[in-house]
Amino acid sequence: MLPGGDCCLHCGFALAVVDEHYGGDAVLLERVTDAAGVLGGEAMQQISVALDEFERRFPQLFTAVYCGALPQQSSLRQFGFWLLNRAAVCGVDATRPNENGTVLVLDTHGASAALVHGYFVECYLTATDSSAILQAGRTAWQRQQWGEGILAVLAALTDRLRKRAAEAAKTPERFAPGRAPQEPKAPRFQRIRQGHRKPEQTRRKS
Amino acid sequence: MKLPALLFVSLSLGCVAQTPAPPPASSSDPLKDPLTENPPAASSVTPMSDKEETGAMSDILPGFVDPLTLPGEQSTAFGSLFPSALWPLPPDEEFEESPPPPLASAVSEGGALTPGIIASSFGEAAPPALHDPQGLLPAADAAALRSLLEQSVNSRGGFRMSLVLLGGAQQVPVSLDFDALVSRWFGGAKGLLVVYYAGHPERTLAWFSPAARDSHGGETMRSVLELGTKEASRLNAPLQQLQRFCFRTAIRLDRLHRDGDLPQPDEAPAPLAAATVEQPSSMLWWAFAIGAQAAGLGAAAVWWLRRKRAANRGEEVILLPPQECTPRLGGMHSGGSGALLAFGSGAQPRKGLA
Repeated sequence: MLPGGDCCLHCGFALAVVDEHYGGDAVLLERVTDAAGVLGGEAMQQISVALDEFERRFPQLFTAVYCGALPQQSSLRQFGFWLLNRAAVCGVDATRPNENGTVLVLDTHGASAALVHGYFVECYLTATDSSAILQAGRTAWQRQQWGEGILAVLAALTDRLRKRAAEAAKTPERFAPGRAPQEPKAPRFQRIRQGHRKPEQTRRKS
Repeated sequence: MKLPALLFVSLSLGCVAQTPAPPPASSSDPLKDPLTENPPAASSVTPMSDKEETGAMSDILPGFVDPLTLPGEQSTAFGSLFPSALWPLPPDEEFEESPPPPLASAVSEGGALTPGIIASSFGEAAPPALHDPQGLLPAADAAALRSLLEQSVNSRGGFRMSLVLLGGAQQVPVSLDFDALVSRWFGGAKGLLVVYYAGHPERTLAWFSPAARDSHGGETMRSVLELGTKEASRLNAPLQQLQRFCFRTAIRLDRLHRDGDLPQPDEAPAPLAAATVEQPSSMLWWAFAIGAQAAGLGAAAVWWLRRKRAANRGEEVILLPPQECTPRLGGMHSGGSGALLAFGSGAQPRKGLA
């Protein structure tokens, strides 16, 4: 692992920090997890169909949806980050590793949603794109229509990825991953009195 | 500009005044040309101008210009420029005015119809296609119109038409029941009786047989006659009015019989100025049609392409180019990139990833 790959160079955040909350073992994750129990059978069916369609159009990618009520202290993005690194998504073949996945975490109690991408997907979707994708489900979620919001987010994700794929076909270098963050070096200061001799020693010598 | 001309005229007059007077022309022999008789001397006579030749200056210079007398002018009784020796005049009796045609005089002819006319026009049997009981039409015109109506209407098995030509101010007897008359004449056939008043096509009367009314409707039949009278009214001569009426009505009746529908009324010929103005618009009509077709084809092509692209958009499989990614934050599959949305009312987003 490259320097800086273990933790944040500024705050020290790492996967190990999240492991302390949710555990460090691998877990099994369904493509659609309704821990909050807000999705009906029809909505589950529609979401499954939408996920199948997404995986058919993007043979390299997959998407998982986690809908639950998380504790107040937890962060949705941290939870999504932990899921993508620790979970094995059921029904997804081996040709789609987790770095090619996207997890939509929906907190129905906290009225928040997070979209977390794997390493491969994040090359094509910026934070602005992710925010725009989440905004597609905002209206439905405000009306407690959780299924419709998730479908809208999936549609927006599909559309945005299709555009980025077209752009990448023309200019692939535009989506090349950035450099790894450099390890910060120790601060180096120029001492004001550097090179000066101590007066007592000078006197003694003289 | 006029000063040099006046100077030239005064100089030329002075030259002419110095020339000797020519000898008087002998007027005893009118056939003798005075110019050939007394040719002017080239050295002593000023060259004659065009005005002198035409005699326009004879008033100014009466002593120098000889008025020419036309041969034989004295011998004619009228003293005109066209003597009888050169242009023999026709005898006076040929200029006598010919009597006006009976149809023109019948425009204002009124009065009640004689029993003979009534019997021949509205008798037991239907009159011929064109019935002129008073002989208002010249024989040739009457024969031509009768032939037209016979061949165009009556002999085609469609309508049986009987046109009775009356004077312009005459009246049909009110005691006659024309509907019953028409029903008796034509029976189950499509027939019509038209009473045409010479010079007054707007007074035309028509009665239709029940079969004609049932087949085409009374309004349609009436409109056929009205269109004919309207077009006839545009003309002035009574004969031309009648010819126009017969011609148009025959065409419409034949069309009505064949197609079962009344053709659109023919518009009056536009004046020449209007025609020249409208000609470019009629030529532009083709350009507009071609442009509309091209625009339609273009729109259809765009619509088809967009539909095809939309259809392919849902069917196509999208592959993203592979990328070499660097793990971070200890995560082997994800670095936690993404976005967070708080959609609750007044809700604040929770703390971030790091």
